[in-house]
Amino acid sequence: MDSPLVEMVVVRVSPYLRENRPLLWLGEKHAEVPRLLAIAIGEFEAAAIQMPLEGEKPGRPISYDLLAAMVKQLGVRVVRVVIESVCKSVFFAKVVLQGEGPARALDSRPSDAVALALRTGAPVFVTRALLEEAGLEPGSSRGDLERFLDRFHELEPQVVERQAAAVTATAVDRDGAQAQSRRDPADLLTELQGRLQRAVICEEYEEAARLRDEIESLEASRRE
Amino acid sequence: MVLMEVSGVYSSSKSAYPQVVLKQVDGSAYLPIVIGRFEAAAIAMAQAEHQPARPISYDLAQAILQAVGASIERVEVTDLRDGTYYAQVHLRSASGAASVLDSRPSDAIALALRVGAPIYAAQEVLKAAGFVRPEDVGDAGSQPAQRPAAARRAPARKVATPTPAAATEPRGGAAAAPASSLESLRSRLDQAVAREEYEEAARLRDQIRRLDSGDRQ
Repeated sequence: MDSPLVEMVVVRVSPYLRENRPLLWLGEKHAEVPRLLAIAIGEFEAAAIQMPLEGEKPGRPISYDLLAAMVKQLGVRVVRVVIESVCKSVFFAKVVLQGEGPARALDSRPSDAVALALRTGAPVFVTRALLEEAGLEPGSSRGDLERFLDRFHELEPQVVERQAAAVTATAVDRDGAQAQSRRDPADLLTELQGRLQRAVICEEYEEAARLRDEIESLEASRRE
Repeated sequence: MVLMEVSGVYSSSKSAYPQVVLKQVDGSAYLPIVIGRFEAAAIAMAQAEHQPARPISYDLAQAILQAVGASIERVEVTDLRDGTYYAQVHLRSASGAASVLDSRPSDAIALALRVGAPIYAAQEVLKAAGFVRPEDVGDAGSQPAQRPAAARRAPARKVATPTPAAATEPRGGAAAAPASSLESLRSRLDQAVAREEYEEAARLRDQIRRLDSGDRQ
């Protein structure tokens, strides 16, 4: 994903009654006339984003507060979150972490990434390519919005019968380029499984077949 | 502290919220905790070892721990005050530094199941809110306790199990849908993906795309 990044602000979360799903609105930060990006998200995630936006503290920490506390306690910094692409109506994001070693990018849903960013003060970016593909020009009509929303939503935490890890860890250097070195096999396996999942969602089955074979041979070599 | 395991996640039509029930590993005490629906789903998923199609917040937490070489040593349900349960997550960083985070039991349990950390409950909490099923008394340790019926019910799966084309064909077969119909192709595509037969999936995808574009012309 080499598209340049555009910084966004979290504008608000709004109810969207037709599909009964809340919308997360992001707006271009440094623009005279900011373009918008709307992502349909789950209700729980919407509430989790609403809270820090309105300066509310829950009585007890919710999962994102625990996550933010965990990150802080471990001395890890959330450098940025990036909403990267949309494919078959599913948005893909990543959380970029800086610990002691090289920066790491972790696969995430946009809602989780934004909820964490708001709690850690991390900036939110989208790729320029995504904004051009899925962004809304200011002043779009209601009709445009409806058509737009029919196309894009974030996948609900749907259960699939698959043992593959749902998370992808990719080592990245400071410029975001992938660093292939210093990768332990378990790490690589997780990454391959994440890429396989994405290939299946995107209907890129030739890539999926290749990844499946790679995973199988990696698993076979680890058993030896 | 008493070592517990997750007995099950239950929802009943009588109460608005689901419960996660913990069971004593070496004994017969149960501890019911009312939790949110989202958290209940997250626990049920982990218990059934089902992976969501996209990572949810707990999976992200697990990925972060893994990425920085940290671990969760244990989680504890420590207290029950004014009807609210309190829990703690015991963290260990890559360098070995230990720390304790305040948490709700639901989040702690959802995380513990994902990382394989043990779950404990304070003796006093068990005394205050735990219960022992009468049939378990005197039988502790010898047999696994009889679980409530709902515990044996697997969480609802959202896996597509496509109906075979034959089942949807009308009687007599005169107007039977051709085997290459879109619906049948899509169902075969789902099956191919479920079996990880991606070469077949690619072939079916192309067939569907050809038919689809034919429809639009």
